[in-house]
Amino acid sequence: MHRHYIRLSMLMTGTALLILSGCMAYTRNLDTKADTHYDATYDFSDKNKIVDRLVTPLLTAPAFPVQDKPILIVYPVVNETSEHISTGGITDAIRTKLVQSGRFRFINEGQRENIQKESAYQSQGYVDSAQRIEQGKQLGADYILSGTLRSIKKEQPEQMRLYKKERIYYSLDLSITDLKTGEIVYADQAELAREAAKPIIGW
Amino acid sequence: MMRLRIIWPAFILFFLAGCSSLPLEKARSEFYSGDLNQADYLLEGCKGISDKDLLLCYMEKGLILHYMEAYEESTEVLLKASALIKAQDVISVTDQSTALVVNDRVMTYKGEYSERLWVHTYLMMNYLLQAKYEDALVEAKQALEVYDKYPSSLAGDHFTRALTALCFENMNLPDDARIEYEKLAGEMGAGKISPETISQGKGELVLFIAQGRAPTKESSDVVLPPTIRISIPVYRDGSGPSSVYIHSDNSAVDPFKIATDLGQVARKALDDRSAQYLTRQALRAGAKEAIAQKVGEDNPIGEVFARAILFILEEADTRSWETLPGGLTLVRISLDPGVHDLEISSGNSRTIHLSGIDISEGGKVYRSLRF
Repeated sequence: MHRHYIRLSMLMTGTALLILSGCMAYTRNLDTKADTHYDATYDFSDKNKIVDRLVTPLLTAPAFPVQDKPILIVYPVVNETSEHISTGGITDAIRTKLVQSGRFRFINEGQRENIQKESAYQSQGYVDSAQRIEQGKQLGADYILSGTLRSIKKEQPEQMRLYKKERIYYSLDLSITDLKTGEIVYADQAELAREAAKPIIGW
Repeated sequence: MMRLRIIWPAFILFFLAGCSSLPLEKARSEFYSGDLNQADYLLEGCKGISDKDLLLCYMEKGLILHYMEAYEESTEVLLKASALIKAQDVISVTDQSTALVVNDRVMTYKGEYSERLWVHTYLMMNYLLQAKYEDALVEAKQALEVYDKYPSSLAGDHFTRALTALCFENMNLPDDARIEYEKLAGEMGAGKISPETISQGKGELVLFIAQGRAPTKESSDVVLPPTIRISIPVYRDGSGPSSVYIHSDNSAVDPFKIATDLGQVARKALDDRSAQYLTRQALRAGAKEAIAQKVGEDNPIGEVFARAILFILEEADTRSWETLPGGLTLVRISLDPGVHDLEISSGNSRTIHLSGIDISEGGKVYRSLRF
C-alpha cells in the first residue's frame, strides 16, 4: 500500500512537472536598446553600441566642416572575427544615422547595377523622353568609408571547475579615405569585451 | 511478480540500447552505391533520426550535399552541426547515468575530435567553392580553435592546416598564412612548406580531392569472468589517399599537394579518448556487477537472467561519420589565363575529366572531386 502510494505520488509529480514545463513557454518583445546577452558572442546589443560609439564623434569631426556635405561611399566592413557576423548590418546602421543627421550624403553602391539596368531600359524607347533619366548625372564620391571587425577570444584553461568561462574582445576600426589623395582623413575605433560562464554539467 | 520486476526494466534497457538510426544506415548505403539524391532524400529534415544521433545526421547530410555540389545547402546543414557541437559541449548527467547501466551507445553523439574538425574543413571548402572568402576565414579560425583544443589528436591533419593557410592568403593575411605553413612543416617534419606564389600573369586552380572511404568503427570485445564484458570501439578497414596524377591540356603537371589519411587521424583521435571510455567501462562493469548481485540476493535464477541481459547490453559505441573519404588532398595548380581541360587520376581509380576551366589572371578557381 505504502509502495503503491509512493509510485502514485511520483507519477503525479512527474506529470505536474511536464505540464508546468509546457506552461513556461512564452513570447515577448524586447527593447532593442537594452543590453541583453545569452553568451559572450556578438549580438544585436553590440551592434547598437558599436554604431552609437562610432557615429556620435563623426558628426562633429573637424575633418568634415558643418557647411560641407561630403559624399561618401560605403565599402563593406571586413569580418576578421571567428564568428559569422553580418557586418552589412553595422554599415547600414552607420549610414542611416549619418544620412539622417543631414551632414553627409551617400552613394548607393549596392544599387549601381540596378540603376544601370533601369537606366538602360529607359533609353530603349519604352519610356516617354520627358520622363527619361538623363545619363551621366550620378554623383561622384569624395570619400570611402570602410572598416574591419576583429575579435580576440580566450577560454578558461582546462582545470577542475563547474563553469567554463570565455572572454571575447571585439574591435571595429572605421576609417574614411579621401578618394582624390588616398589619405585617411578620419579613423576611429569601437571596442567591447565580455565574459560569459557556462556550466560544464547539464541534464 | 519477481519475473515482472526483472522483465520490465530489462525491456526498458533493451529499448534504450537498441535504437539504431535506420535512415542513417540506408542513406550511407545509397551514398556509396552512387545515388546521392536518394541518400539526401532519406535524411530529409533528419526525420526518424534519434535526437542522440542528430549530429551524425547533420554531418552525413552536409557531406552528401557537398558532393551533390549543393554547397549552399551543405553549408546550412554543417553550420547546424557546428552549432550542435558547441551546444552539446556539456557533461550530461542523464547520459552519464544511463550509460553507467546500459552502454555508451545511449549517450548523445558528440562527434570524435577529428569529426569536430572536419565539420569546419567541409565548411571551409563550401565557402571557398562559393567564393565567400570572409566566411571561409571564419571557419578557418574555428578550425584552429579545434586544433588548439586537441593538438596531439589532430596534428596529422595536414589537409585542413593547408586549407586554413589558403583561407588566410585569400584575405590578404600573409603572416597568418606563413604561421600555418610553419606549423604544417613542423607537423610533417619538412624543412619548409609553402605553395608557389602565383606569378604575374597567371591564375590558380585549387582542387579538393577526396579518395576512398573512411574507416568504420567496430566493437572489440574482451570477456572477464564471471560475466564481465568489456567492449571498446576500434576503427577498421577504410582506404587512405593514394597518389594523384594531373594532366593539364595533355601535359603532366606537378603541382603543390598536401594529403591527409583521415583514417590515421581518426584512429589517433579515438586512442586519445580511450581514457574516457575505459574509465566509464570500469565504472559500468562495477555497477552491473552490483545490480546482478542485488537481484541474486532474492532470486538466484533472476541473477542469471540479469547477468545475461547486462552482458548482452554491453556494446561499444560504434557510431561515426561514415560518408567521410579515406583521404583528402589539396592540390594547387598555377595556370595561364584561359580555358583549360584537365585529367585527374588516382592510383587504380577512374580518371576525372574537368573541361572548360576558365582561369583569369590573378584569379582562383575551386573544384571539389571525389574518387
